[in-house]
Amino acid sequence: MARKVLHALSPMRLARRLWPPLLFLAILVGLWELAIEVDYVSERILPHPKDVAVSFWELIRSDFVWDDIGATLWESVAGFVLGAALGLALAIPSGLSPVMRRMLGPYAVALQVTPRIAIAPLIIAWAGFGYSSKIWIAAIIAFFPVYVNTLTGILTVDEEAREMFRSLGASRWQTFQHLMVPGSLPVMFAGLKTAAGLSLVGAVVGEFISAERGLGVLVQQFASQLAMADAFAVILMLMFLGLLLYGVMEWLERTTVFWLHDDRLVARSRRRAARAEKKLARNGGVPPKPRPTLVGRR
Amino acid sequence: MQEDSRALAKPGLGGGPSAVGERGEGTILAENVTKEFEGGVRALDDVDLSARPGEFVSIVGPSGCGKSTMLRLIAGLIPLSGGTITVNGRQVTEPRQDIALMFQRPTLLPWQTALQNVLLPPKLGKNLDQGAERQAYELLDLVGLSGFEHTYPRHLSGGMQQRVALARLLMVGVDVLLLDEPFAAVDQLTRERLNLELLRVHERLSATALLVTHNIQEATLLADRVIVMTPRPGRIADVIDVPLPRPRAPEMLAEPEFQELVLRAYSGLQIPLVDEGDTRQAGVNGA
Ligand SMILES: Nc1ncnc2c1ncn2[C@@H]1O[C@H](COP(=O)(O)OP(=O)(O)OP(=O)(O)O)[C@@H](O)[C@H]1O
Ligand SMILES: [Mg+2]
Repeated sequence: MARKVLHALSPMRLARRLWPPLLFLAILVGLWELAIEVDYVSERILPHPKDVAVSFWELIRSDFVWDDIGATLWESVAGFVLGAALGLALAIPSGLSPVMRRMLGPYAVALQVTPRIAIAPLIIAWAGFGYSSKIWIAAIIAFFPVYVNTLTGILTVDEEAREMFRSLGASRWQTFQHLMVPGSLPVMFAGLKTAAGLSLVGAVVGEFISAERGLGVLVQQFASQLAMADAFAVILMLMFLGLLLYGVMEWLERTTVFWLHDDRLVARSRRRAARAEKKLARNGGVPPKPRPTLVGRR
Repeated sequence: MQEDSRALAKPGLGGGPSAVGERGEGTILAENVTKEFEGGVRALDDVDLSARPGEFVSIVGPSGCGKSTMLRLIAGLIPLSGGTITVNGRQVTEPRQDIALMFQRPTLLPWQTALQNVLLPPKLGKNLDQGAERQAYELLDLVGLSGFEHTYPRHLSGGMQQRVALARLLMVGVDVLLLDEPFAAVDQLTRERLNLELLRVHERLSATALLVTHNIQEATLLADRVIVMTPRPGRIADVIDVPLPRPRAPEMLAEPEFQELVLRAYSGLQIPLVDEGDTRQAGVNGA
């Protein structure tokens, strides 16, 4: 395992994996420079890549930008948690009861087909200019993918496995706990990942409409001052925030839904085998004694 | 249980056990079983079926003749439309702990190791202890999976997954095993090996087994009795006693006595021998 990781990180392999995206980046930056160089676009509208980098560096060394980053991060994370909690809270009863499904389903779809950004000004009117209005906007946008995916996950849990649980006399709670929850996790996580990205969108949209702090506010300010290099730098920051959220979700997914990832499975197999061996050694090192009858009559 | 003995004595059930263990552990008794699904599909029509303790009974028949339905009824997973089913002397009305059922697919939990999957029945039955764990190790060994206890299903082959399912079935620790085409999803070679393993396990455990299969040779080689069913509506066409000695071995396939039994099963299925795979003609080509 460790050897495998080392192997994956060796310079040769890294180089082989990284050259295609890096090449594309070089082409992109080259075209960008060229467009400014030949005056296809004005430097006032599209800054030099170099200037963007300088702006980025200066911004992250300033004091104020970290408050904005913190504000946007807090709004999107809190909004994501709230939206995901609402999605789960409504999807689980909908998944387990057809009546609940018929009761909630149409409204979830109605909420989905409504451009939810249109609700944003209303929410700001209700919840004020502070963080809470952005959190609610992010939550409303993040809600739907969690709801739909969790519901789908629950409804598509293998019918034969459910029958097996029934034939083993499992209670409803046991079936939920040991079959429905883990069985719906993979699809649920697809929804959570989408929702994490959308919550950032929600937070920024909220900031566009009205806010005192946040990266969305910064982009708007810089753009209106035609400080294009600064605006681009803030957008880069938003990208890194998005990457951070995505990375966290990706990691959570790999840890939780470990059975879809070969490397995790192998590692877990090893750990369990080692633990079992230790247990055996603790019990005196004797292999399990065969029972007189194989099938215990309970 | 007067009715039980009447049914057991019914002619045509072939080898109907006499006085032996009508109430004993491992008795299956189905009388006048009828199952009509919503929409009017009559899957089973007045079917009688019985199995003595420790007996191995195969059910063969073309697709759609109600074999799976029969097993699901015996397992108490779906309600009867008519008739009665008694297992271990008690009428079946709901899924019961003393009946174990194995499906065509392994239906293992992918987030659990082979060992954890085998330990599912005691876990759900709240009697997960050291003894159960020891027994799970033994059963995995019995089905030829020692060394794979801590492997996850994703890293097991199809045949190995079926063996885990078989070990899990045996873990239920009951006298009645219902097997619905348990090895249909694996290749011919693996399937033959698994069948022999099933035989070995059955001979050691003395549990009653009811095996559904499409393969007449397989049904005959494994069973004490072969029940031949025909579709639309599902009925029993023939019950064939298999007086071959145990332990059974694949070499018996070549014996003339065996061949005769197989031929009889084919004629029960009304399948023209030139075209034995085509079940669509089963009903039409009445001999
Ligand atoms: N849940 C159901 N609802 C309605 N009809 C059903 C249902 N389950 C089975 N049937 C019908 O009952 C009949 C018998 O089905 P069953 O699954 O028992 O057949 P089978 O003998 O197991 O076939 P196969 O060999 O293909 O598995 C079929 O005609 C099928 O269409
Ligand atoms: Mg079937």
